[in-house]
Amino acid sequence: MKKLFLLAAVCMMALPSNAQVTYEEDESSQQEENFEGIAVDKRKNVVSLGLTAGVNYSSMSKYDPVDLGQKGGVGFQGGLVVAARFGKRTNGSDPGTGIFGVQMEPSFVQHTIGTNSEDIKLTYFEVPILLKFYVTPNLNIEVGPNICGSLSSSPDYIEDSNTRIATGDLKGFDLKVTAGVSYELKNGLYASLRYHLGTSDLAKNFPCKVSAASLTLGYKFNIFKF
Amino acid sequence: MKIMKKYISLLVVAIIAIFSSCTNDEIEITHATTIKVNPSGVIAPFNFELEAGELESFESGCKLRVRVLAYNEQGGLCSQNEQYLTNYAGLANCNLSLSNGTYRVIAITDVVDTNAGAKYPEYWKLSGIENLSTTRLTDAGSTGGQNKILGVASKSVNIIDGENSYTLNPEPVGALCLVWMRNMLHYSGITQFDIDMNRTSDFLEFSNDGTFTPAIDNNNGEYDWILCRFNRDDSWNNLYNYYFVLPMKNVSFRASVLQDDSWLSNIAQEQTINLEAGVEYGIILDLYDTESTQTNNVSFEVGALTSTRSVTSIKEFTVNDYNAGTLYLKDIDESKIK
Repeated sequence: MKKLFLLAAVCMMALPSNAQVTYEEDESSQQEENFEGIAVDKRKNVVSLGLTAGVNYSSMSKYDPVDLGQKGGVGFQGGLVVAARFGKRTNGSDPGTGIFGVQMEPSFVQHTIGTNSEDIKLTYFEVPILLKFYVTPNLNIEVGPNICGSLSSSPDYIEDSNTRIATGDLKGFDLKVTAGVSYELKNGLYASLRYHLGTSDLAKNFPCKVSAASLTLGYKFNIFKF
Repeated sequence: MKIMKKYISLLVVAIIAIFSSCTNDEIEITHATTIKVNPSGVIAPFNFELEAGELESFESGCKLRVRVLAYNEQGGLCSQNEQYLTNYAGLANCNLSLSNGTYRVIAITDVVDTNAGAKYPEYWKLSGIENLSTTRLTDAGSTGGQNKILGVASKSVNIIDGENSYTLNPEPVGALCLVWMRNMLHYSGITQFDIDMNRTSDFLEFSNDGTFTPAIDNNNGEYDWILCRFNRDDSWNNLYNYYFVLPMKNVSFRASVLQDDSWLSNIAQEQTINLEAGVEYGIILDLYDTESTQTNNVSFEVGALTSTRSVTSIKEFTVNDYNAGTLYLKDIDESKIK
């Protein structure tokens, strides 16, 4: 597991060395005239950076051997947002107004699962990598993988129906499939409503998956155009 | 731009492929397992007692300790529990926490003295329990009497999801010897009465498959060990006690007496017998057996007690002559028989 994660990290480090991004401090050099002789920005793409925070409602699939009485719980999350929006919606539009974009939100996320005995709290570091399709200049549909790594879990044990489960040892990885919608304002504020479907069992002998619905608010500002 | 999109797509596909093949490690999930231990079978084979109920009862402050140990298939100790009963008729419910799988469960019963300052709080010491192959029950060094009776049960159990319950019925792992000294006051000058042995077994060893064997020690047939020693008490003409011995084959017993600071070890013929677990034996030395066919009237009998409350089934063995001049005849007081 650790070797595979290291391989993924190496792949991620290879990306920037091949990115073709230029940044010109001289704004005037980025202007070009259109066919009407009006100066327009020849850069098309925008990268933005920001912060995000929100709440989630998590649930866990049923543990068949024992009825733990699991029910959904509310958790909180927060982190950074790094986004890029590509192209111009029209020739006269500003850069970064196209219909496609990509957004990453490395965040700390706490999932809460209620049980008959004690709530299970799972803290993850999650990085959703979302491909965005802008239906309108503001409204977009997001879809993509959400890479999750467990940071901590509590309590140490839960007990139910003569069975004792070491929930404190629930540490591992998950790849959630995320889909949702987002609405972005021109001033940088945005709100997202997403569903994250868990695909990995919490443990080999504890075949339960955690899924969550989240509502997040964020603010991002452009850092450069290219 | 197109190249950037291409790399992003490739990266996403690679991440999906990598993490979709990952499985997280197992966690500990244990189930409450009840091991019921019925110790009545430990005392049941021993039917002969000179006073009613003396084998089953405990002295003040003594209790029957029930220990349960569960070992995994590699022989490692996974869980253990200990309960105390006031008699052999009770049932001990020992609770363990075990994950799914197959285990070897060992139940051990022994009597312990819980009185403060007891010289021998226990008669058997349990050691090396971390692994079944090193688990050992060792004689603590006390004669113990009937309190030294040791019971063991071994069973393979399979733990599954949900509630699990198993019953273990320990049995005695050794022989019980009733040693009865009769007419001890018949000859003056005799102050000690011994039953010697030419081999001994001081501990029980376990194997990974749950079986156990006694470790036998001998010294080329020399009588280096004593089963018991009785001291002369002018208040009592007859004395008896019980001795619990791990099973041994071809163990020989010899009667010896201390007279005027000299040991006489040839007062009766040596007796050889196989001591088997779960069998009660009578070892009877009578210094004035009027029914003996020997001229010195000394009889030394060793044999299995097959009847309840009776010694008539014991085979009488031939007794060697001895130098009568070293012993003094003395009248006995039959009213002072213990």
